[in-house]
Amino acid sequence: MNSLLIYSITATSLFTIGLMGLAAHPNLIRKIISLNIMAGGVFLFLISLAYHPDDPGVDPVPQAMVLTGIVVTISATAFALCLARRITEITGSSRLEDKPEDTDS
Amino acid sequence: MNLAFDLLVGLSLVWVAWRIVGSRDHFQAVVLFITFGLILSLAWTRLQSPDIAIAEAAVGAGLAGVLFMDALGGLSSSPGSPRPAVPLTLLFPCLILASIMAIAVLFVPEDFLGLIPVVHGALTDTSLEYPVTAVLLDFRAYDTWLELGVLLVAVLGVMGIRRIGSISGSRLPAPADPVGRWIIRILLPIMVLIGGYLLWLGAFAPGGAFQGGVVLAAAGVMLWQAGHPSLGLLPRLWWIVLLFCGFLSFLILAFWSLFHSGRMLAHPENKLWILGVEYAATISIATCLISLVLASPGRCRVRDN
Repeated sequence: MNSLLIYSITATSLFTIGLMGLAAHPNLIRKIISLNIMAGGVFLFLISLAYHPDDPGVDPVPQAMVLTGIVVTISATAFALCLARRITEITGSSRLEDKPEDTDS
Repeated sequence: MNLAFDLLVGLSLVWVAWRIVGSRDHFQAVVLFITFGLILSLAWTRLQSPDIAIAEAAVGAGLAGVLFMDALGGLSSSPGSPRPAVPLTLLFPCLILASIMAIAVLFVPEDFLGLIPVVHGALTDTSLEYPVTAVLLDFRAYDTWLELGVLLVAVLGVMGIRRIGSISGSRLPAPADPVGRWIIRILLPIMVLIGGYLLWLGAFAPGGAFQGGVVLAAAGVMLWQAGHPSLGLLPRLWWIVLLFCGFLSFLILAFWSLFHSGRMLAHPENKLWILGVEYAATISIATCLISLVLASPGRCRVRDN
């Protein structure tokens, strides 16, 4: 019961922190890192709800989902980083800004 | 005692995540993200999910770290921003969101068993003894099949953006120094052994296609980091075969079972089928992940440098 609460609340906090980073940073790598933190929060939430400390153990279906999810996340991250590199090559900047002329200031 | 440990792990996770978001230095954020992956895999072991802990340690701390470090070298032209990393106007809505979600957690019923009884009841119908592997390869085989498809699409996307047709000519990191080479020479056979052992273990204990594939991928990327072209040495045809064999084996199984039992992906009694699909999936996962890392620097024209 208590572990469930600790890890669920940790998971929701991680999700919010990731969301905050996603909104706050103009740099593309930092946005992708923040998305990864959000994904970690979602996985932790799934498993913390599937976890029963005593008899039946952990629900195997969310475990399998998280396992596939981790591999999908890393492939999506690799693809996103590749897109970010391409954006940097074309625009010369790895930041997303509202006003591109202000980036030098 | 356990409660204190859980609290420590939870608090350090939140603290490290906060530092990742709050730090102004990109390099520091990447290093902290690797730490985050390691602490997260500690949390998985505490939640009795050793499968996820293995995958997280190899992916979250290993492969993701390599990818981010590599991208940092290619992207870090812009300096850190002079303003504070997290503006205060963002902090309050996020705090409200976090507290709403934390309150929602309090209303989750404690005696909710989920799909545990269903899975354990159906375990007699499959030749696999370990529930997680049974879910991955038998009960929810569609998920695993399409997940291999997602990996293939990611590889194709990266190669399309990089405009390369194979990974054989991709740029290599500088050759490792003698100490690094010595460590790799010791570690590489052990990692391949562990990957194969995890794959074999999957039928009856924590382990399986994903964990084995991820450990093998980490071994391949480590070899590449030392300046060795690893998978790039393979002829293009063989590389394509390895890339697609997991997806294809599921496709063949689906067709075969469609004509034999009238239902797609209904596993035959023979255990050889499951083993074949699992081995092919492992090879494909490892090849796809290695290709993703190897292809992302791209551009073979800097080969001589």
